[in-house]
Amino acid sequence: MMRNVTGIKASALVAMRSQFAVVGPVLWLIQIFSTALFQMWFFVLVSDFAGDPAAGPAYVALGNAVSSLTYAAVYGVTMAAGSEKHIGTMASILGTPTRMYYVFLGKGAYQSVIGLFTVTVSLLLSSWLFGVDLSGADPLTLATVLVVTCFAMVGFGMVIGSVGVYLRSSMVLGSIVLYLGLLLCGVNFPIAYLPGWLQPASYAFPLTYGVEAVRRVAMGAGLADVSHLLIVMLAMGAAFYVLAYLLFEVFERLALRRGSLDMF
Amino acid sequence: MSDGEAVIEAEGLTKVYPAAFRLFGDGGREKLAVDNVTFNVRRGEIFGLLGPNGAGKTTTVKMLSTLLIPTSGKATVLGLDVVRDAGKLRSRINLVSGGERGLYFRLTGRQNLEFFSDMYHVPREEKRRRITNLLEIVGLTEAADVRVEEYSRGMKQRLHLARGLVNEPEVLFLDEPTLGLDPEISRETRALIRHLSEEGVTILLTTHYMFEADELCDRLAIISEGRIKALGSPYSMKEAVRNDSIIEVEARELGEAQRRELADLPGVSAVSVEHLEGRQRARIVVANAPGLIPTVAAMLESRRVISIRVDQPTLEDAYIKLVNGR
Ligand SMILES: Nc1ncnc2c1ncn2[C@@H]1O[C@H](COP(=O)(O)OP(=O)(O)O)[C@@H](O)[C@H]1O
Ligand SMILES: [Mg+2]
Repeated sequence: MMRNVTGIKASALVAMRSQFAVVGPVLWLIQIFSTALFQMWFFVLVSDFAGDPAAGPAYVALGNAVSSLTYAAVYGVTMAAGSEKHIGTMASILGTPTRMYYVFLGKGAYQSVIGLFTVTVSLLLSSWLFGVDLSGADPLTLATVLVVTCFAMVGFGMVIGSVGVYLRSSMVLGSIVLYLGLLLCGVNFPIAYLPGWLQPASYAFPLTYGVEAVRRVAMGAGLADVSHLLIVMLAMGAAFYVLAYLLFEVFERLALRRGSLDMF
Repeated sequence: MSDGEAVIEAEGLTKVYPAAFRLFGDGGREKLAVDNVTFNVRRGEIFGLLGPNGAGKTTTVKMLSTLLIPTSGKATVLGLDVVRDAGKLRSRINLVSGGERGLYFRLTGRQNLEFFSDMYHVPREEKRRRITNLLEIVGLTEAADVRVEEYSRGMKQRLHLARGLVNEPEVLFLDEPTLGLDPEISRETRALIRHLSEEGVTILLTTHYMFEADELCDRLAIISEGRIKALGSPYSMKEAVRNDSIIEVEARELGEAQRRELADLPGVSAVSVEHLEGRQRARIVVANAPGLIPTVAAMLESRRVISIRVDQPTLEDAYIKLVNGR
């Protein structure tokens, strides 16, 4: 157990060192602010143009602020799988006694920190620039909702990232999920606007519950009022982590059979 | 090598790569990469797998180091089954592959070693001591805190070797450890391998350089098209051509067709053709060289022959005979 914790910490450290080797702190902050701002701004302008009162600028700004979690929590974790394979470290790691799953837990932990920072910046920007009213929100409840959402989304990212142990396509999957999130999760418009057959898919994405919970907290809901959403996300998250563990084992086995570790 | 205890045992080891799965187009076909390979490596030995590109060396090494599951056959390392006991085995062995991949190039050399030490659960205090020591051994102390992306090819290779030693493996697999290194660095690398062997590490290395196998290995297996063609000490390999002699022909228009014609002559056991600037050099391994010269001269009459002479067989010829010959 302690050994796996060492593995998780070591992997998180590598993720951080790799990132800050390329970008200095200033550039990094610029990156976070751009991630937070530009997408939100774009969709706010679109919504302004559409003039739908049920999905006005503040609605859209809040949705995009929460969805900024996706970049780190899902996309970041998924891309990590592709990059480990690309630079060839995946084969070296598989040869050690530490399971790949724990290495990815470390990456997930690091991306969670980045994700939570990004979403905080996003929310602040949405309230300064786009009229999102957070004055009624209880900070502690908001923080709890964000942490739980992040937890579930990293689990989701691990499930998708596990494919990367076997196939090169994990990066493709990561991009698909990134954009599906914008479409399906009630970020830019209510889920009810989607065609009926598509709506059930929305509920497979943890982001859907996270966005909904933050909307309610912004309107003054307390922890008890959003507890059902939190429970769904916790349960989904737990299921994702278990599923990811199994998938990592299965895909490792497949990769060892096919000899696909060095295909990148 | 003293007690002769086998620490690597491969028995009928076979790998068939499954046909590639593709959504569109032809799925590709199955590939028999290693075909029923059997050999032992003794404790403390340097054992070589020597063969041309595509012979199945990497595939064999990966199966033995738990990074590829054999299709059939059985292998144990340190008495542990490479499939069933892979988890236990991994902490006691290590694999170093030639090439630049497999390192975090945005991290420093030291940070890479720290990470892999953690992957092997090396205790914290021990980790620091070991890494300092390893950096010293591979001559990277100065460059320890420089990012790997700034390393030269040879430095990366030495860092790879250090990475392969962080868990103090009892058995070390080296896949083409000097591939693409300049002669100076290659020599240093071979010296390092010998040093490790003296420290008691059992080493299985692959190479396609005959002289490297000759220089380093206590015993070696010549492998070609997935099969072992010969197994023994470098000396015993040379024995294979002891009773042969060589006809060396240089000409300007020697091709594959001529090589095949020559190989079919009576008494000829192997022919290699080397392409040089504007000419080719064929070496014909044959029982009685002088007797065959007139036949060879006649056969190559129209190929713009420059010279024909008789030569002594070398290790290179033995290798070619064992790989291609009959
Ligand atoms: N993952 C793979 N899938 C399919 N074929 C492979 C794979 N890896 C290697 N091969 C094939 O198996 C044969 C042996 O390859 P390899 O073991 O890499 O040879 P060597 O290391 O001696 O050059 C080659 O024909 C190679 O093309
Ligand atoms: Mg090879």
